[in-house]
Amino acid sequence: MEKGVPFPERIKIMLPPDPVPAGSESFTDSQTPQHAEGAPVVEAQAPVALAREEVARVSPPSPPTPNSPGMRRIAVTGNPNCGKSTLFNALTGLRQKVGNYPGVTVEKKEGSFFGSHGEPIQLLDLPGCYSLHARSPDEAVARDVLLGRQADTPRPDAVLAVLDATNLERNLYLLSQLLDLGLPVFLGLNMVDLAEEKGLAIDPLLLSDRLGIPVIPMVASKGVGLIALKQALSQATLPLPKKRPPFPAVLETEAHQLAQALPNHGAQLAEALLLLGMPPRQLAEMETLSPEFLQALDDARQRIQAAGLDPVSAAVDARYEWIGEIVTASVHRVGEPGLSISDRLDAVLTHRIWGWMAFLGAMTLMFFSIFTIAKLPADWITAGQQILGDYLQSVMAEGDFRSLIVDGVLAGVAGVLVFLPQILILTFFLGLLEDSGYMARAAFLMDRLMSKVGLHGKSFIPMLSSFACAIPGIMATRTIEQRKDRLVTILVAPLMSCSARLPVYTLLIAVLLPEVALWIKALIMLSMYVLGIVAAFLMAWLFKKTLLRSETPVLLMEMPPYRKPSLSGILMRMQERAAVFLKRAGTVILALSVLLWALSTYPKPENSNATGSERIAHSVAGHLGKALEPVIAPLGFDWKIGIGLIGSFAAREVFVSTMGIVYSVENSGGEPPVAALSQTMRSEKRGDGTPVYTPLTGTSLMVFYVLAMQCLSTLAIVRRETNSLRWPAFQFLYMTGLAYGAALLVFQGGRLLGWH
Amino acid sequence: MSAASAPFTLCSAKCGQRLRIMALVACAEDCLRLRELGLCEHTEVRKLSDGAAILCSVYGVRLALGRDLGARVLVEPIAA
Repeated sequence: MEKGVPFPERIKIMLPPDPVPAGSESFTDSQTPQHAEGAPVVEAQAPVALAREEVARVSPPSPPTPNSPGMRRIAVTGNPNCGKSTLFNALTGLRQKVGNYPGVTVEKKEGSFFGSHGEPIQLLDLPGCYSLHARSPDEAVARDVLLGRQADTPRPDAVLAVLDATNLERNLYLLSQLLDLGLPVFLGLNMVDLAEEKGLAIDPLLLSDRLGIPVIPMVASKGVGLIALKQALSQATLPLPKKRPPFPAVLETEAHQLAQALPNHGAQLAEALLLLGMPPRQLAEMETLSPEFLQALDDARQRIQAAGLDPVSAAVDARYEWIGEIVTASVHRVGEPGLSISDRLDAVLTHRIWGWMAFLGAMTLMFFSIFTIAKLPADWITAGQQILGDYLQSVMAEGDFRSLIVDGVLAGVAGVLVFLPQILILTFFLGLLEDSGYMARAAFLMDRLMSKVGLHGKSFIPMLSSFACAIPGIMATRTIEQRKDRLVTILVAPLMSCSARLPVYTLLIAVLLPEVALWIKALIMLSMYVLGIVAAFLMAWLFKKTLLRSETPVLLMEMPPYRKPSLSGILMRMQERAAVFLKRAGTVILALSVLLWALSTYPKPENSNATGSERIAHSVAGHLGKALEPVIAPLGFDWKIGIGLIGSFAAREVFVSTMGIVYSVENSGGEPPVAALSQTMRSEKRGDGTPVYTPLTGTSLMVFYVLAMQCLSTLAIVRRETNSLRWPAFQFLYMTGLAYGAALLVFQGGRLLGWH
Repeated sequence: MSAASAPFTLCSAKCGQRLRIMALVACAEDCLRLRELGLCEHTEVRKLSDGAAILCSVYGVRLALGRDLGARVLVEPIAA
């Protein structure tokens, strides 16, 4: 790296003239004086000053409606994890999820904001990509929008390339491709504060001059640079790039000739360069190209080869050579690059022994916290539930309506709400893993294990995300390059224990082991999670050997730097998770609770002195449970558990509310909190007087819940992601069969060994 | 740079070693992605960790490579 004179603290970036219409809002920011020649100058500041700059987060009180006619459309693109979604949120005021691992955004998101002159501007937040040579479905979305191939999205009017200033060279590679698109390009140079901390001084003026596009230094997470960016994007005429990477003459000539044979959509040159550099196997999969065009392409590649160049690598080499020159001229490094804090942490956290110990330690701590920290707020909810139940009992007249409210609605909904603290703690810990950058390290550690089952470590990120909920986990599979690998990951991700299983595990552990220490309960819960992981690995191996046979993919993944987790971001995710959970409690669980109450109440027995058990047995739910009993009896389950299983096929946590309803009906209106419910379940007897909930039955039931597919929302998302009914149907059948087989093995095997 | 030493694979390099990439011997698709992520011929890398996979630093970015892929990146040491 060339050493030079330190850059001045304040640097002016010249932007092309912007004729502000008379009467329209002019630049009022004191930092944007008019240039002597009349051209407005957007003044940015060098990193040192930028870090101190206080720029208000510019979010309009009510953002304009996207897709309004005539609205300027800007696509936000860049490498994964460079801060695109943070910038998108800062400009639009939206709350798109951000995180510190590649692949947080897997589909395009739209939002809008008001420009400097009050004009509405639409933003498209595209999934991160390293190159326009897309390898995975999320990268293909970005490529297709930028090239105008996406049928439902018009080609943007301009591109805002967000670059991570801390690793400019690699980020500039994508930018060098964007310059070929034939669109105006703006560079949002993000994280300049971190670059400065790393001893990198970047001269935005020189960078702008070398690249031929406007460069806006910024710190999107602090709102720094937003005013300058909005001014740049609000110009009446957006300037096209003045420069492109210089390619070898033969490549340039062939690309231009090939571009003439492509449909005129404005990005022919970029398309031609992509096709010329496309590896043969990918080219063979292109079905939209005519035989004539393919012949012309083949001829062009042969001419490039004849000139002594490799058509696949020639453009890449030329781009990096150009980037090297630009970086040498515009980046000044203070001191020699040594090992960073992230490098030192990685030496431990990715170590073959210490790394695993750290991973298992983190998981154990997470599950121990779920039990210990959540106890206090859970007790408050239980106490509130008890007080409300007693109050309703005292003020309402005895009858079906009181039974519906107390035994149906309260026992059903409040019985599930008590698990909200545990779910929030799980979300908090997963948020810490995501924001700190540890998620990618877990994938790294898992790579060797995953490769044994035919996947690579990257597939572990969707699986780990599925601990919170399988839906975002399945969405995250879009970062996986190969279709079959992605499908296998989708099929096994719901085997990871999601937060909806937490209430079931907690209840059953309380039923089976009421008196043991919390750490033992935490270990039992951890073992359920481990069982889910092991099952996912085994099924992935089986699918890769049979249905979805393909080569084991190779891992190639960027590891983000460790960062201090954003507490506000994690709290936002906890709030969202709580909102989703409460919405489910108020809709699906409420409706199912009322339905299950009705099914377990009617028809009533003729004998008004019938016991609770007799009343349920006489009801529709009782009949359904008894119809199912012959099928589930080999697993150790009685007909009342059968009612719970039927209820929870829509959503797992309904099992808890169903048990609450079933046993509160039996207790003649006594509203049971979880402790009372577990006590009631413990005392439940079979016809022969033996207890229903023995350790063996409980284990069998927990194993069933670990492995069964009991979530309609997950099946719906699998239907959408695979664009087929076949795969969700297959997934439902295989997971239900697996759950049944495993529970059968546990119960019958245990009995053979003399356990009970 | 020790021009005399024969290239060896990134897998067999020592952790902490500064290296220069001499050749990529993977399939065309993997070579393209390696290059696009900055692992081009003649680029300097530093191997950081070696366990389930390989961790190396290139252009200040940490990249994780599966061991299979690491065996297809030929490097030579850079003298300190």
